[in-house]
Amino acid sequence: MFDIYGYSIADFFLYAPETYLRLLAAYNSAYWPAQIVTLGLAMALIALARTPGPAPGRAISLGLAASWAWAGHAFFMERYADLHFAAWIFGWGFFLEAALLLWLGVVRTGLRFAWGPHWTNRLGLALAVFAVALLPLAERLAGRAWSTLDTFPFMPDPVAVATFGFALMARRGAIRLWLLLPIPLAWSVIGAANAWTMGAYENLVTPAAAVLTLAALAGRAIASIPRRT
Amino acid sequence: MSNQPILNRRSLLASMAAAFGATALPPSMGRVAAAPTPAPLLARPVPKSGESVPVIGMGSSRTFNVGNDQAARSSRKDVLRAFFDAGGSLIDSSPMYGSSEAVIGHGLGRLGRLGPQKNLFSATKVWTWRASDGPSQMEESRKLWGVDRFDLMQIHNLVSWEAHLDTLLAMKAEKKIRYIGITTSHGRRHKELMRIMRTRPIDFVQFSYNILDRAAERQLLPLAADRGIAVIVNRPFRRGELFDLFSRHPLPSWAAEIDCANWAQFFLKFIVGHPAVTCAIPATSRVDHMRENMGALYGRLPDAPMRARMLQYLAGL
Repeated sequence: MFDIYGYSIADFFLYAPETYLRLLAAYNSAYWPAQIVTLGLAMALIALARTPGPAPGRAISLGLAASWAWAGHAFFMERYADLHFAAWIFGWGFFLEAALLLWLGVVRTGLRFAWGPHWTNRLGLALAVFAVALLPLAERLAGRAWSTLDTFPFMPDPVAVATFGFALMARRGAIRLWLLLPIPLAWSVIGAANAWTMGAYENLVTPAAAVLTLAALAGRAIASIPRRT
Repeated sequence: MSNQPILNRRSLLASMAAAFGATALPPSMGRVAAAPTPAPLLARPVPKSGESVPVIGMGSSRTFNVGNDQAARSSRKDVLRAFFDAGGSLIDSSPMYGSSEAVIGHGLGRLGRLGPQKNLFSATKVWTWRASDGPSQMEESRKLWGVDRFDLMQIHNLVSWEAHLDTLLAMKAEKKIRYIGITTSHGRRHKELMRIMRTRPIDFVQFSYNILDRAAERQLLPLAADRGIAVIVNRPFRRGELFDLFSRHPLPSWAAEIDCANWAQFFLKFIVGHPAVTCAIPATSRVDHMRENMGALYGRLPDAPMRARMLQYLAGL
């Protein structure tokens, strides 16, 4: 049996912040300048959501699935596994999310996205843009070196936050949407623990985005319950 | 300044270098010789065997988990060299510490510290929830370190300890390991740990103890002494917090009476001054810090009145 009782949060992130940042720098530099290309592709995915429909929904789901798979493989399996004993578990979690997106959004075409008209859709748009374009800038403003920034889809945090954004942009009443949330939520908790241990408090935006998403979706669901007149 | 110790770091390092020439470790507790200079290396016996272990070892949690970063691996090799140069021997790790075991093995290989008569006391842990996974994990650890066998195999944080203990007892009987230990890294499982110490044939126990966290003094340390169990102390600096709290204050002038030239040595000598402690395992990623830590391996140890004085001084800061 896994015994959480004997451990503190810090016991699960047994590396120095400098070591983690050096890993990020080596990882980012290995793929540079692909980050610029993926920024453009991610913005194109967000733009696709402007036009609701099955075809954009499939394309967005495919793009998100590829992002989860890439972060799972390139970051967790290839890099983070050097530092963390459970990286392979995180990696498989990301692969599972990719599979869910493919199944629900591409095979079953059950996901459609839109920028509006509901306020939660617009909130989702803002979150997605933040994840893709503004999160790295926020980290830079917090003092992180350019080479160590979290970029989409290379790092798990922007992928998770962008997914929260698309979840909020998803068509109302898409019940399958809830199936996509447990893994990003789980990563939010794990990522927050890592950020806290590393002193990278700027990365607490990921759990904040998770809470915001849950609250907005719950509010939307409650508001959609027919009222007795 | 009157509040600075008389012994400076340069003279201490010089005596450390001189002392390292002596290959025989002292057979009994505390200082071995009364010669004023150079000071002999401080060591304590493993109660079950009488084998001497230097009172300062090295931990590797966080500090040696640097993955495949070649520059960082090279710098950790330099840390290991400083450790051995100062007379260090016991290195502790765990499969839980990511790449630490691989980085230790890399450094040991580069420094030619593998094989017999290399003054290495290798200590790691088994950390699996399924006991059947233990042997393969320990074999993987052995390969990562590059050693023929581990001197000490510990059950990490009491995980599945009953089943692992059976495995370790069999391995010890087959001379695949020399000693068996059990570890915790904080004070929350002391009751269970004491039950094991009272009832099972373990050679080593490892837990946290430092000048601020002294719960172990009440029962754990006396029990270890009573049962003849060697004690390894982890988190001697409370993961660096002791320096945050006290390093801005001056070291008391009387710290020179126990040959402490810096706060690291002050904290470490308080720990190894306890007669039931076999060794402390501070962790560092820096050569200069390693040299400071290893300074606690030499000179005089505090007796009970001096340890009380050390506590009183910190209480007044």
